[in-house]
Amino acid sequence: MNTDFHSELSAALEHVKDSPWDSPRIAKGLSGIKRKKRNRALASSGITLAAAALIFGLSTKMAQHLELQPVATQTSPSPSPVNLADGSQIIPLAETTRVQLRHASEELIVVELEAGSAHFEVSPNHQRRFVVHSAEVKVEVLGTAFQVTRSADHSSVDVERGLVRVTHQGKETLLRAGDAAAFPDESIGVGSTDDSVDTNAADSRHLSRQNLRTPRSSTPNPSIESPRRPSSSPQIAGGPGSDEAPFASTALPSNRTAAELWAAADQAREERRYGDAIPYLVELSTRVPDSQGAQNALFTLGRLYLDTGDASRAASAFAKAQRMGGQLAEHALYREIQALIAGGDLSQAERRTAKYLQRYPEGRYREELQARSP
Amino acid sequence: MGLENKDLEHLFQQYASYVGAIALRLCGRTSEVDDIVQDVFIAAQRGLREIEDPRGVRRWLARVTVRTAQRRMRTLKLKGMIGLVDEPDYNTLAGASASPEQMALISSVYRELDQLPAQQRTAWILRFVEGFRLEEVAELCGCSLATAKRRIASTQTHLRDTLDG
Repeated sequence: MNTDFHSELSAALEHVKDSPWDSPRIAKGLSGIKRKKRNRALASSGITLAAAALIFGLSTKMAQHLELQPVATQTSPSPSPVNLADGSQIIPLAETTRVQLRHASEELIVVELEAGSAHFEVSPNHQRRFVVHSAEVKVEVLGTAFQVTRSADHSSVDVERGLVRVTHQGKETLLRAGDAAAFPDESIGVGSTDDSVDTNAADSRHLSRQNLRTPRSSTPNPSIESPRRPSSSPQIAGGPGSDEAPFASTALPSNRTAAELWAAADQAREERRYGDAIPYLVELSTRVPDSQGAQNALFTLGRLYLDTGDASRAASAFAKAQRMGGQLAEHALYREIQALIAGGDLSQAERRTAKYLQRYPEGRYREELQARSP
Repeated sequence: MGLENKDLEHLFQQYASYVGAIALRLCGRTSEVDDIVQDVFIAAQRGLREIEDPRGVRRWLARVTVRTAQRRMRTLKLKGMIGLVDEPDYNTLAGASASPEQMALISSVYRELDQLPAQQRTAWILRFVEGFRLEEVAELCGCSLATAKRRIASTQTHLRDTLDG
């Protein structure tokens, strides 16, 4: 901006007027606040009543569903969808498909694919785990749509949207949208319905969707070619329901540079594919655990979780970033407090606030935190 | 536990003009100011427990005002896109002491700011209209110093390109 224009603009902006607040306007403002509070209270009670009615309706429906189909085999002679009480849908893709609902509660749904192929549309719900067993393979949903095919000697998983965690031979693998993988079976038969699968067999093979034509018809044996990712299946801590923070490691390729991982994470976040951004950030946070990059990744991960309503994981990520010290530590501690408040853990928020005030007596968030603390 | 009603009244009498001034400069529309101020003080009654440190209260209110005004600007932008709100009249923004040229310039600046994302516009206004320091802008916007600088610079560039001709 040239000097003349800048000074002209500065001079003009001096004249942006102040808004006068005289007594009548203040009185009007106060009555407006009272009116708004009253209206919001009414709206809030209406919403509460509606929510209560909805929860009652859903729990009744769930109870009826469990009564009708507790652990019965749901064989679909035709590919008609099976609707679960939580809104999730299982769509059999072959006449031979046999799906069994092993467990259904508000916290956990366990489905076993006994034969054939099925597409799963899982309703997003952070409070509930959704697990599919296919022989020795366990697929745990982290909010997604995916397809599982069980054939004579292997099971394959093809992810359409979101993220799933596949456990096979005790190894865990994250599969993102567009990924597909096949997992060979050592033993043929009905897989464990226990939530923890522990067997020994060969490694999995990761494939791109282009190379693995997962069957949408009754042909259940996919051709397997050209691995897209390395076959290592690193461990992952902290799935839904776990107390561990979900930033131990990932199934991402280790040959990507940090810049590439950041770019991929940023792109996923920009496109609001938050589930897809998580593995990149997890990888960044664990690659060089005590680095500045790891701390940045943890901080970003915390913000991502907070933005998506997962306050508990957000607090956990911020806490870890805070423990790493440095300039980001103060911000991380402040964000951790925000996440704890968002998650309703007010007592821990109070403790962390006290820690903040003790550690950063001149901190930039001190005034705000002091104003909020009792 | 929030503020008692009498504390809220006291707070409102003391800070309504401060909040209103920020709201007006951020939003640029006199018709929205009272509503934003009321929303800020409703949040204050929930979020503030006691009024002890006036500096802390001012800063807290400023932060809430920025967030509230940003939300309002986004809503107005959406409504504007589908024709639910009238074009704002920014000619009333300038005080009586402004010359006609200055009034026109202020109006043009706000019209151009309307073309930008709320966060970008907010950072620039806080810096150049409200006169906050860069660190304060970053804090009020809830972003890093680098991000605040980037937003301000980007707005400067936009204004230079569109108005300095």
